[in-house]
Amino acid sequence: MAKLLHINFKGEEARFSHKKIDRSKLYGSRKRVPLDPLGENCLRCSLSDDGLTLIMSGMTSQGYFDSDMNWIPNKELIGMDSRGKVLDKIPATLGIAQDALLSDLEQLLDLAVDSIYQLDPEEVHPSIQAALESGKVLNFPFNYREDYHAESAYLVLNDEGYFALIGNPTKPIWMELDQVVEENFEDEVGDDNDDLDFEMF
Amino acid sequence: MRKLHLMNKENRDATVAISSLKYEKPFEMGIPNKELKFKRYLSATQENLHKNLASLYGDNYSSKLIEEDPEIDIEAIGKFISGSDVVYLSSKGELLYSPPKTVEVIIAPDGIEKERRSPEDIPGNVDDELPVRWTGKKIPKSKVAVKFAFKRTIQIKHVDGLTYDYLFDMAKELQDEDVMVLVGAGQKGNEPLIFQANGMPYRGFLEGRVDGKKYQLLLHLSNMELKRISSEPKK
Repeated sequence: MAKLLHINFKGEEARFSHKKIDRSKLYGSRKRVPLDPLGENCLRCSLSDDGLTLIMSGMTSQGYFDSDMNWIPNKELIGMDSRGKVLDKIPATLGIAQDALLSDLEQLLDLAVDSIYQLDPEEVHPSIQAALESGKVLNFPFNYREDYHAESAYLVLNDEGYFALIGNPTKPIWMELDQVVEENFEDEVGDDNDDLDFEMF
Repeated sequence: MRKLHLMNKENRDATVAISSLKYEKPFEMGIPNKELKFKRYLSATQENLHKNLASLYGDNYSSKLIEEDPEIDIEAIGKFISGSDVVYLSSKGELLYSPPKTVEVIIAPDGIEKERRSPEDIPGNVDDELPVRWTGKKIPKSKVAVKFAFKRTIQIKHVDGLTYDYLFDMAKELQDEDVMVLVGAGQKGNEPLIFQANGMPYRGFLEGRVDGKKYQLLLHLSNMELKRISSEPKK
C-alpha cells in the first residue's frame, strides 16, 4: 500500500489514503483512430527527415549529450535553477506529516493543477474536518518522490468527499488603465487533449 | 494577441485580449558549467524490437539476449533524429500513400469501447460572431473552488480605455459579491468554451479581483468536477 498523505494543522493531524483521478476515469474519453482501406487499425509511425529510417514505437530514446556528443547518464544530472545554481533535493512528503496552513481561495484558484487525488480518510481530527466543512482550504507541500521541487497541494472537502489538488502557483498580473497589451503571436493553447465528457456538458 | 469576444450582463459586448497563466518551471536538469543538449536518438531497429526477437528465437530468447546481444544493432543505434514526418502503415505493415480514414472511438470510464462514429470537426467559439456571455449563474467563490478542478486559467485584459472600464466594472462586481459567474458560448450562452478547432470544451467561471484602480479578471476553465470515481463510494 502506498504511503499515506499526512498533514499537521495547528498540532492536529489527518491521514488519508489516496488515488489519482483524471477526467477519463470520471467521464470517459475519445480518440481518433486511423483505419486502412480494409477498415483495420493503421499503425502510426515516423519517417526520419532523410527518408532512410522508418521509426516505429519503441525504436527511439532520448537523453542529454555534451558538446562532444557524449551521452550523459541521468544519474549524473542534477537540478539547477534558472541562474545555474545547484539545488538541494527535496525529500518525498508522503508518509511524513506536512505542516498545513489555511489558504485564501485565490491561491487555490491560481494553482495550475497537475494532478488530483481522491482521498479516503484514515484519521481526520475533528478540528481539521470542521475547518474544511466551513469551506476553508488547507495548503501544504507535496512531493510524490524525492526531487528538486515540491509542488503545492490544497486539501478540500465537498459533498463527494476529500480531494487534494496538486500543482504550481501562477501569478496573474494587476491590470492598470495605462497598461498596453503586447502583441504576441505565440500559440498559447497548447495542452489540449482530445477527451469527451459524458456527463459534465 | 489572442482575443475573446465577451458580453456582460447588460448585453454589451466587446473584444478584449486574453493570455494563459503559466508557471515558470522551477528547475532544469543538467551539470554545472556544462552545456547539454537534449536529443532523440535511434535505440533499436525494426528487426531487433522485442516482438520480432521473441518470435525469432522462441524459447532461446533469454539466453540469446545474454550471450549475443541481438537487441543491439551497432551500425544503426545512436543515430540522432532531428525531425520526422508521420506515416501510416496498413494492418499488413504496408506504407499508405494516401491519408487514412479516421474514426472516433468513444471509451467509457471503465476503459471499454462504447461507440465508434465519424469524427466531426468542431470550430472554436470564443472569438466568434457570437460573444461569450454571462449566464445568470453566480456561484459563491467558496463553492466553485471546491467543486471543480481548474486546469487552465485565462487572464482577460483591456485593449483601450473603454474596455478598461468595462472589465474593471465586471471584476469589481464579482469581487464585491464574492462570487464567480458561469460564462458560456453560443446563441444562448449555454455551450462550453472551445478555444481552438477541435479543442477541449471547458466550462468557464469568471472571477474578479480589484485593488484600487487595478483589476484582475480571470477566466478559470474546468473540464472536470471534483467527484469520486463512481465505482468507489465515499468512506
